[in-house]
Amino acid sequence: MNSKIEKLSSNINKELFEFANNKGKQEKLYEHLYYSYWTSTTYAFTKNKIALFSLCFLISLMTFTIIQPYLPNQKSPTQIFIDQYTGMQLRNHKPDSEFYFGTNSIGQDLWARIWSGTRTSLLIGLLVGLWQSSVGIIVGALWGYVKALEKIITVIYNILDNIPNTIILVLLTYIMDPSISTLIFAMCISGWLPMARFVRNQIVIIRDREYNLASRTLGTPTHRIITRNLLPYLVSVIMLRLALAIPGAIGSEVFLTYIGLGLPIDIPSLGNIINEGRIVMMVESLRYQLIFPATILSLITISFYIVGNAFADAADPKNHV
Amino acid sequence: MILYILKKLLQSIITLFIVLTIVFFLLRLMPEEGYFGENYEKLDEIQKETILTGMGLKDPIHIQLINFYRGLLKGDLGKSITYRPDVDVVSILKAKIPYSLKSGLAALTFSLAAGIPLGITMALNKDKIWDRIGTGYIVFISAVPSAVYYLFIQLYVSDVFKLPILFNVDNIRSWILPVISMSLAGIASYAMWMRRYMVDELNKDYVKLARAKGLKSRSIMIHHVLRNAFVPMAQYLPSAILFTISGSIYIESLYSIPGMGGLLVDVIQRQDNALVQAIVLIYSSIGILGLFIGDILMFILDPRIKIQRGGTR
Amino acid sequence: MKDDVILSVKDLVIKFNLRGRILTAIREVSLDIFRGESLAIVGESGSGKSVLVKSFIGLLDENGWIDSGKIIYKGTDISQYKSEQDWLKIRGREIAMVFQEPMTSLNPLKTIGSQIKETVILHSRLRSKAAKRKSIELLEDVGISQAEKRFTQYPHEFSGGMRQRVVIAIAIACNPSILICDEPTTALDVTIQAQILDLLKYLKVKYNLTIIFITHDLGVVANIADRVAVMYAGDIVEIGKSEEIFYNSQHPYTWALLSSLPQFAEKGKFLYSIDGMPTNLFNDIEGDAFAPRNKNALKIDYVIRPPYFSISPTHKARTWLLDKRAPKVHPPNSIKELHKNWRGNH
Repeated sequence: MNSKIEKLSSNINKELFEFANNKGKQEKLYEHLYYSYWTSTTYAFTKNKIALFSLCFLISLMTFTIIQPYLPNQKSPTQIFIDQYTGMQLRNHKPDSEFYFGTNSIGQDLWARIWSGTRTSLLIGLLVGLWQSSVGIIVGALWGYVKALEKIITVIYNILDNIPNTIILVLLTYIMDPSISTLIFAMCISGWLPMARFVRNQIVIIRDREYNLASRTLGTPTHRIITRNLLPYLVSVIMLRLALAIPGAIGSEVFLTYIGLGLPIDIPSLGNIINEGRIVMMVESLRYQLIFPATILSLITISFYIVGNAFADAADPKNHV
Repeated sequence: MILYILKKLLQSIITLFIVLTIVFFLLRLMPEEGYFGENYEKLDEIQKETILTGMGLKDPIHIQLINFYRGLLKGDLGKSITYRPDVDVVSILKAKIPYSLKSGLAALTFSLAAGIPLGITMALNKDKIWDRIGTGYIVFISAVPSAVYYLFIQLYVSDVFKLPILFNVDNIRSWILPVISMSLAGIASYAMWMRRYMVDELNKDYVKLARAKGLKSRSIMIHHVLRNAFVPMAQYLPSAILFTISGSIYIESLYSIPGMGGLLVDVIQRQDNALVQAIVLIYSSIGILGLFIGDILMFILDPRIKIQRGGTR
Repeated sequence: MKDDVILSVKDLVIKFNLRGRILTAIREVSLDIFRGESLAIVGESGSGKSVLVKSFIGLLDENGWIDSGKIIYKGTDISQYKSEQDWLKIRGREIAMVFQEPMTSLNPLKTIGSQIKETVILHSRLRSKAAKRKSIELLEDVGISQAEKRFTQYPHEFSGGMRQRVVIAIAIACNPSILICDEPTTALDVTIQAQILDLLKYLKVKYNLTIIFITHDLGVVANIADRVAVMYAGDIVEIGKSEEIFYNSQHPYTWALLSSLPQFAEKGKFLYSIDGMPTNLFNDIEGDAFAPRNKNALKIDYVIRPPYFSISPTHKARTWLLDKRAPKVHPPNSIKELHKNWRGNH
């Protein structure tokens, strides 16, 4: 190393030993590392190939369910088809080019029914999810942040939490006539509890963190603290819950249908279609009536689950690139 | 310590009381027709009145409530109204409960026994093959509604393993499918949480120190991480119990198990209030008991809670 | 000063992969550590002090690695160690470490007794009862009264200072040759600081330790160190005996550090602070890393990295200002004051 210096020394111009006359400040500052929360979230999400695939699948599926009725050659989900030769109902017809998924035991086109059912179930799931999230967040935020309300909300929560969900569902759908709105209402009554609890726990944890104390000291009103400091932190979780609400709602619906409290048959939903399939599932040749809706249901729920979780992970700043 | 337990016990009882009362009122909202079944058309007004009065349904609501609790304290849950008229609720339930309890507990045990080791394995093999398999399993079970995969199991697994799908108390093999079906969700849940907690612990400072002082990774896993990860797990035990017991409603129907779950649906439809109340009482008690046990467990396992008075739940 | 070198670092380069970009945290550091000395490593946050010492026991974060260079300990180049098995020969046994945060360094759910006993059993032939006795002795040694009773208590029942003593006891239990303390007193209040430092000095004598002490607090350095190494941007810019660094500092960065001490503040004037920000270590640095913040920088500082210039057999600094061809530079007033008190040769 020293000889290198010596060699350089002889070539070094005396000029180099003059003062550089900087002002002691760095002229070239750090390259400003550009960071945008949403850009990083998207980037992190897209790195997860499985999630990306599921998302594409979901979008195509949902698009399809929406446009399906407008495609050519689509049949009505409730129409009962009559065999032109025998004059009898086309019951339990195997899948073929006419009826892609076959027909059910009454003679209705399963293909049309399944897509109609998917629409209905998705709608229910979405509405329930939105409700659960909104109410859950509001209650959870108030519960966690506003000390005055804490005790009473805790009491209400404990009580509602302890009534088995199934019982509430069953009781309510029985008291009121089964319909889409009843179903949604029943699922919403206690469905917001987990979200509220979760939001509340998170808020309790971060409520006393320094940046929130700082805000309070500076006189920021409570609602601003909640919306600007606390909620953005919860975005990822909220999205996750939303994504999971849909499979959850569909599941509850299937269960309710099974015990006889689901939607009436003229409103097809994945729940009652699966139930119809269940009735005949022991007969090997008729199994398709269960397999088609069940598979579609599984694909939808799994995709929602994957996308929801992947998004929650991507939105967590700790995972950001 | 005793004080804490007593306080929690009191809270539990009060909650139970409130829950029961609410269900009680909810049931009274049921339409009158339901009490009669098909006979509704055939009977005339006076007969209906008599029957309803005999059931105690025409009394003012607070009287009904008081009577209910009076009976409860004596251990008398009333008589079945429409399911098995005039038969003691207690005796009806006595016959049914063992089935639910046994299968529920079996499922719970199995979930714990399979779920926790799975979670540990997943944490130890993070991002490797076992982790991926486990994750795939968890995703499937969590996403697909249990109602659906129960059907798949009944359909395919029974064929492959030649397992019976009709429950018979004497035939052990007939227990297998229902118990395993019920335990699947629990396994997924426990595995997921166990893995998450272990991975969380691994990032903590005391693990760094343990490594610095020369402990082997394996040693650290077992003596420090695992033990610490169990503590937050305790809070899931209660919901697990509740879930297993109430999940059985569906399973009991599918496999024709003569337990409480299947009965519940039936009696709700028959508007047999006495039975519905009794069953709700039992379910709620189990749930509350579970929460209570969970709290006590946390208390024992985490020495820090002893210091905090009125620790947040 | 013993001439016995116990740990020798040669041209060490450590890099990290942060989200795809490579950061060079340690840039060709060479350092000899003598048996029985107390060496303090000072520098601001991000200078690389922690990274350097963590590499001695293989506790670099997962995204970091030793790119080149050697770490020779008792004849072996431990920079080549990859597996946990290798490192277990060093960790605790030879080199023990005390971390900064006493609050979180201990497992909250286990008694401190079990945590010390575990270490004793690991590093000695003692078993249960004997190990417990030894553990209690150690607790007493580090100044914890009622050691027998406290053996069964949990970390949250101890104050910060006591917890740090426990952590030190754990480190001593390993019977190491070198004890590394990474800012052990930063999280404690000043009165406790003094106690912990005294404890360390006492233990050093009793157990024949070599101590490497990391801190950004020059007051602590004055208290405990034989030698001081000043780090900036992953490099040691000046190193020498404690009194040489304080009273005869030659590197502009050391001047800046010393000037920042509140003791040198002049009444009515602003406190001195170093302008600018630490260098971006993602980029390759040409020349002297400190040049952009150095009012006295020479043009050559931006071109060629300065070599070490010896000021005395024990004191050297990496700055072109010490080259014969460099113009004479006057250190700030506060430093001049210190130089006046320098007893050694000029």
